[in-house]
Amino acid sequence: METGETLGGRSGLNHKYAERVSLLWDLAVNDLRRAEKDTVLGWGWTFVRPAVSLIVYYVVFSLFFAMPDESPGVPYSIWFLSGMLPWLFHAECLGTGVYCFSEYGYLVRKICFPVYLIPLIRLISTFIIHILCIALLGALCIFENHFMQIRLIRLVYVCVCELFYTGTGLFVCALLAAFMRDMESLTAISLQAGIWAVPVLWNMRKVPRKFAELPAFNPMYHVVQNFRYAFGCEETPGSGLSLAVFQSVCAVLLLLCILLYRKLRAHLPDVL
Amino acid sequence: MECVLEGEHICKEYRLYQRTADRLVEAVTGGKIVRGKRHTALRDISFSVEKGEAFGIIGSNGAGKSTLLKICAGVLEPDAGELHKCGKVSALLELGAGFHPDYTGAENVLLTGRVMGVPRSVMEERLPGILEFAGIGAYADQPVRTYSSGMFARLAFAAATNVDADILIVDEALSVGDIYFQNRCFRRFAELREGGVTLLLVSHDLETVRNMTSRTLWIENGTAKMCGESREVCNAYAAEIHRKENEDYLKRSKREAECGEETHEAADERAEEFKAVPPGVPGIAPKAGDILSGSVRILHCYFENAHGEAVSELTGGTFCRLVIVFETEEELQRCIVGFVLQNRKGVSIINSNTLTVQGGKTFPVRAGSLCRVEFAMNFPVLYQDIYVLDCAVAEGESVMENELKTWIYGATTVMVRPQGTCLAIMDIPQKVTVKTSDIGLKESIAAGGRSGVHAQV
Repeated sequence: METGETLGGRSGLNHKYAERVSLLWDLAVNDLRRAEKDTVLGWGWTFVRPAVSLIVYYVVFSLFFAMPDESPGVPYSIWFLSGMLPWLFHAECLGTGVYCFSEYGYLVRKICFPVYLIPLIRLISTFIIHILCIALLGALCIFENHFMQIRLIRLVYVCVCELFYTGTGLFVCALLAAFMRDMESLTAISLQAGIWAVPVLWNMRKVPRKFAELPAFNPMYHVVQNFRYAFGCEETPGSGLSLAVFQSVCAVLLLLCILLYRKLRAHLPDVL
Repeated sequence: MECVLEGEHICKEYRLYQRTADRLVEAVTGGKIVRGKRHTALRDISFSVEKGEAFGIIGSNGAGKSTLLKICAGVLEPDAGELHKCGKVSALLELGAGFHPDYTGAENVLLTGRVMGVPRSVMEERLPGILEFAGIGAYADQPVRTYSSGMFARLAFAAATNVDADILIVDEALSVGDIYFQNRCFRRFAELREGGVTLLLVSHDLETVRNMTSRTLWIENGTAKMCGESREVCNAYAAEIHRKENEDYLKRSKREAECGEETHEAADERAEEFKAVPPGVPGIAPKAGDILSGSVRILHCYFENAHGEAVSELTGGTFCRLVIVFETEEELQRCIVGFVLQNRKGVSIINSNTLTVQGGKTFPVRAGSLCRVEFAMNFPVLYQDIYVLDCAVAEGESVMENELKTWIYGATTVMVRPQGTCLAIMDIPQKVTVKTSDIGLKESIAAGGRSGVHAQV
C-alpha cells in the first residue's frame, strides 16, 4: 500500500519528495530541540556538549599527551581530532539511533507516516551537530596555524560517505532492534570495541608491515582516512583496497536496508 | 457518487510469537523456519464509502473494528484484499493522534500538521483556533504528558480535524469528552461534511452511530455481518445483543434449575400452547438473590408494543404493555402481581402492582394454572438509557401485609428512547403559553436618549 498518500498525494512526485525532505528537516530540528527541552540554556546545549568534549580532547592532547612523532608536520591534537570526529558521529548516530523506532513509535502506530524516514531523523539531527563540530575543528586549525589546503573540498565527499555508511548501518540496526532488543546491547558493545578497529587512537604507521592492509577492510577506515586527508593530516586518501571495501560494504548495507524494510515494514506496528 | 474509500475482500491476520525475534526470523525466511500462531482479525471484509458520507462501524469488543480502521488509516497493511483510497486520511486511533508526550500541546499540533502535509505557516495561523476549540487554555505550552485524558483527546481531535483531510477516521475519540465537547465535535463533523469530508466513525454508542452516520458496517468476529442503512444495522445489532443476553440467562437457568418436576423448556412450550406469549420470548432464569418458592414460578416478563409484538426497545410516550406470565401449583386466593422499573443507578422509577392499580383489589388464581398479567400504559418519557425491571408475585391483602411468593431481580431490560430529548430522569407533556405586553421599549429606542424621560414619566 502506498504509505505516503498523506503527503501531497495529489500533486506531482517532485512535490511529494520536496515535501518529505522538508518534513524530515522539521522532524530532525525537533529531534534536536527535544534534548534541550526544559533546560535554561536551551538551544545552547546542542552546541555546548560536543564543543566541550572537543575542547577537552584538544587541551588534553595538545598540552599533556602531545606526541609529535605520531603526526609529523601536524599538531597532534588536530591529527587526533580529525580522526575522532567522524568516529564520534558514527558512534553517536548508532548508539542513540538504534532505539529510534521505539522512540518514534507514536508515528508508526497512530498515523500514516512514511516509516523509513524515522532513522533518517536521527541521522540528520546528529549530522547537524557534526557539522558544527567540523566548523569548530576548522577554528582550532586556524588557532594552531595549521593551514588547510584546497583538499578541504574533499570534506564534501567525506560527508556523503559518512551519511551513506552510517545512515545505512543505522537503518539496518534500528530495524533489527525493533524486533530483537539484543541489537541494542550488540550495537553498544561493537561501538565500544569498534573504536580500536579504526586507526583513531593509534597510528597506521605503527602497524607491522604484514598487517598493514588489515585496517583497510574496515569501511570506517576509509572515512577516517579521507577526513584526515581533507584536513591535511594524512598524505593519502587511503588505498584503492579501502575504497573498494567501503563501496562494497555500502552497497551490501543498502541492499540489506531495502530487503529488510520490505520484509519487515508491515510488522512494525505490531512490535512497537 | 464518487467513491473515496473502498475495501475489497480485506483480510488481516495477527501473528503471535513467543519472542519478537521469532517474528523477525519468520518475516525474513518467509515462514520457512518459525511460524507464529495466527489470529484472524478480519476475514473478507468489503465495503465502500462515498465522498462526503458518514460511515459507521460497529461490533462488540474484539470484533476487528479498530484493525479495520487502522488499515483504512494506512497504519496497518491488509494481508489480502485491497484498499483503494483517494485523498488524505486523518486518523484519531484509540484516543490519540501522533502526539509525542514530551512536546507541548502547541508543538504537537504543529507537528501533526506537518506530518499531514500542511505547511507550518498555515498551521501556525490555525493554532489559536485549534487550541481554543480544544479548550486547554494555559496548558498549551505544557508537555502533553501532563495533560488529563480529556485534554489530550480534545487536543488530538482538534488537531486531526484541522489538517485538511479528505477522510477523517475517528475511533471512540468522543467517549472521553464531556457533553459540551461532544456536542462541539458533532457540530464540527457537520461542518466538515458540508465541506465534502468523509467520516469514518467507530463507536459503541449506538445512538451516536445511528444519528451521525448514514450507512453502517457491523463486524462480528472479523467478518462483516451486515452493511446498510445505519438505523437498520444498529437495530439489528441491538436486537442481537439483547438476544445474547437472554441466551446467557437461559444457559444459566439450565445449570441452576434443579426443581425436579419439569424443565423450563417444557414450561415454555406450555406457555406457548396457552398462547400467552409470542414465540421467541425468552424465559426467566432465576439468579442468585432472587426470591423463589417451589410452587409459584414466573415464566416470562417482557414488554409488548401496541401491535402485541415483544420489544426490547420502547419510545417514551408511546403505548405499551408489560406482560408477566407465571404458573402456580398452589391456589392463590388473593394474588398480587407487581413490578419495579429501575434505572442504571438503581433508582426506582416506577413501582406498581395489581393491587394499587385496581384500587386495592386482588384476584384469585387456581392451583396448577398459568396466569398472564398485563399492565397497559403509556410509557413515561425517560432519560435515554437501559432500564432494569424486577417482577414479583405475592399473596396478601395489602402492600404492607402479604406473603411474597417470588421476586425476580432484573427479569428483563428495556432500552428507552425519549421522544425528542430528555435530559433529566423524566419528562412530562407540557403546554406552554407565552404572553408579551408592549411596554413601549420600541419607542424609547427610537427616541434615543430620551428613554430616561419616559421612565420618569
